[in-house]
Amino acid sequence: MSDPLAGDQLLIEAAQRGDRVAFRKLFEAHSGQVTRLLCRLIPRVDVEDVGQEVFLHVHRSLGTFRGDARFSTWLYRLTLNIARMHLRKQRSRPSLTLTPDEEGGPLERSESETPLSLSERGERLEALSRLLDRLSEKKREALVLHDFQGLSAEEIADVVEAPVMTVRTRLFYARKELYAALSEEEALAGIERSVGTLPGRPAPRPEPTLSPSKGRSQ
Amino acid sequence: MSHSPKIRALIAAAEGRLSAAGQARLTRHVEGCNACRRAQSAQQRYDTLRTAAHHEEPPALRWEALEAAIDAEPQSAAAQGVADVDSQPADVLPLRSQRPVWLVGALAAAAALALSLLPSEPPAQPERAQPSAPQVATVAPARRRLGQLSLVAGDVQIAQGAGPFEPAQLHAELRPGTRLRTGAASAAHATLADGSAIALEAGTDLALPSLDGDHVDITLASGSVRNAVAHLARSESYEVHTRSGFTARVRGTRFVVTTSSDDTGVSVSEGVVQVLDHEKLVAELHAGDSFAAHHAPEPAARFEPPHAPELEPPQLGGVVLPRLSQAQAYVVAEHAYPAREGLAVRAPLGSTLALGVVDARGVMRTLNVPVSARLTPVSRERLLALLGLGARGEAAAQELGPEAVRSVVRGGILALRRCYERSLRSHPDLSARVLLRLQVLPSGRVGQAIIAEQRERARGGLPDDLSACVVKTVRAWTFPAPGGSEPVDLEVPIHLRSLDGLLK
Repeated sequence: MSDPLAGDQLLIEAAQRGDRVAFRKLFEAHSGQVTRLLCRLIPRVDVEDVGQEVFLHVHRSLGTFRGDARFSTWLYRLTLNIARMHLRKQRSRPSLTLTPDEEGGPLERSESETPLSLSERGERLEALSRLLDRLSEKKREALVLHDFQGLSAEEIADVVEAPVMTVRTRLFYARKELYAALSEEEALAGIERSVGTLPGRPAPRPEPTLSPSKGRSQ
Repeated sequence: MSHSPKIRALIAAAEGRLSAAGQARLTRHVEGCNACRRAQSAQQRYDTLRTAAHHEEPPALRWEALEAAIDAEPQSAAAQGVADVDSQPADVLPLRSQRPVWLVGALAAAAALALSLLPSEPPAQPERAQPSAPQVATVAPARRRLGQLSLVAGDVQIAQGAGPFEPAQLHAELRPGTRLRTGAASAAHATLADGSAIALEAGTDLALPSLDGDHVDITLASGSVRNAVAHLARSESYEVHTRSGFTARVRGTRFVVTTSSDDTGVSVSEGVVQVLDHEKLVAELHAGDSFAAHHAPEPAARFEPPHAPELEPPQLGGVVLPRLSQAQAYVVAEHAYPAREGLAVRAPLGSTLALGVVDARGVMRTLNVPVSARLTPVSRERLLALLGLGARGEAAAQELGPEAVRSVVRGGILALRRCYERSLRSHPDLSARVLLRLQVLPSGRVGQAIIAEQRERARGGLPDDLSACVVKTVRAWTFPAPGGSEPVDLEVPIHLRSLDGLLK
């Protein structure tokens, strides 16, 4: 894995001295990495808040970063810690969920997509989240870091502070459980089939999601 | 006899780690093995989902929001206290903790206790050297710092207790008993340790008799103070008292208190504020509400009179400007204030206030507002018309951005959830995906709301009571006023489902 901050030691040192501009550059360089990881660990609707929380803690704790590990490893570890805490808090909440697709706002979509086809696209990502939810915390983290963040088993071992063989074992059992779950997931298979057999993209709809109406009655 | 699929071989094949001979053997095996064929199919589906996830754009974090949160922190981490963290136990704090520093220890202890009660997997064996772990650490409470000035503009004076006033410096510390004064055409902002912030308008005199974290009391002798109060725990309080005996008591909100020898005004832009007159509740104000009271000046003030009584006109009125996302700033007496926060301005009764409104492009337009009442509101429509947004719907429609819509929808989820929960009683398996089509009027209210499309998974379709409840709920939503003269159409997909359904 390439460490985007491998040559940015000066930035870190400046941020540790309280240089706000340097800290902003660190934030801009790594916020995408953090939110991508969070998207696979926690509900998407919470990613923005938790992502901000991660960087707040980075700001508070940057003084403790001594460079023993790479900054990206340190940041991944911090992100995992905060995501775990968030999930533990979530578990104590009521069991009913109501989720507007894509956080309930108007969805960004291409002209060729209808709201519901876009919704189906979101459903595939929801299905992925549902599958990942079935895994234990440790297996999920290993799988996400490997399959979605592109880390090697050795790098994951650094992040989660476990032996490489343990990480490899977690990856193996995570995949095994996922494949078993996917085989059972009739609904998901149905979606995949329906998407796969569509003759083409749906016809474009004339009206955009957000537009001033011209006196058109509903 | 059942057969376990050759997962290890399938993974190795997918990662290209199998030799050609191994690949050929696996292919032959899979052709004749149902379990392995199913596993291979699942593997391919997983790869499809993974690819979809790679193309997903994650939410972007905003630096401005982070910077504001950093500024609201009790202490600037990089500059204060962080060096002591290593000597402290690496406690895990609850998320989003912005409570005062002196609460950190107790919260960390409580969090540690709570976490110890959670089921957890056996601890991993420490087989390897541990690099420094970035635990979520506390900031060392080296010293209680209860607040500080974050902006000093013009003539700002500070005094501690009964001490003399002296020119205030940026970052000057606030303690119980601190007093602040702003002269004409001056302003000061202060940040409190719990994340709350106050802004003193020109000609303001206030004292902070209590600032101990749990209880913030602000005594406003004269002038106007804007307050943005962090969310408070049950045991905490935040009150602004005026010398005429009025008290504004809040629990996490944004509001303005204005007082003079004759009048007291409170206007609320967010949350709820209780107004008490000598400890007696006289009003409960919600967002958009304002309160005004005229009173005779007391012969003996309960605290020191304003530092410069001659600056206070004998008859003061006020102008209240709404929060306006379409404008950058309000300009009064050559001072700019963020328009998105709203503004209350004091001016002599009967005078005309020259108000500048800076639009999104930075162009300022002026408006003369006669000050005819203690709190004269200026309507949003008038301001939008001033900005030229009333005539062109297109320009106005762009202001109702996805984030604003998202925020309203998020706020309305709880009510929609109640609709769904009620329907679940009679339709326990109900799960539905609906597309709401809304028409947002220029005022921000929802003119029409219909369920444009639905895909329900319950037998018999979407229950009528649920449809009616959803439409009724959505019609009660209020969006930021898009302005213009024409309504704006929105489409919002909603997925109603229970957690049980998720886990199936």
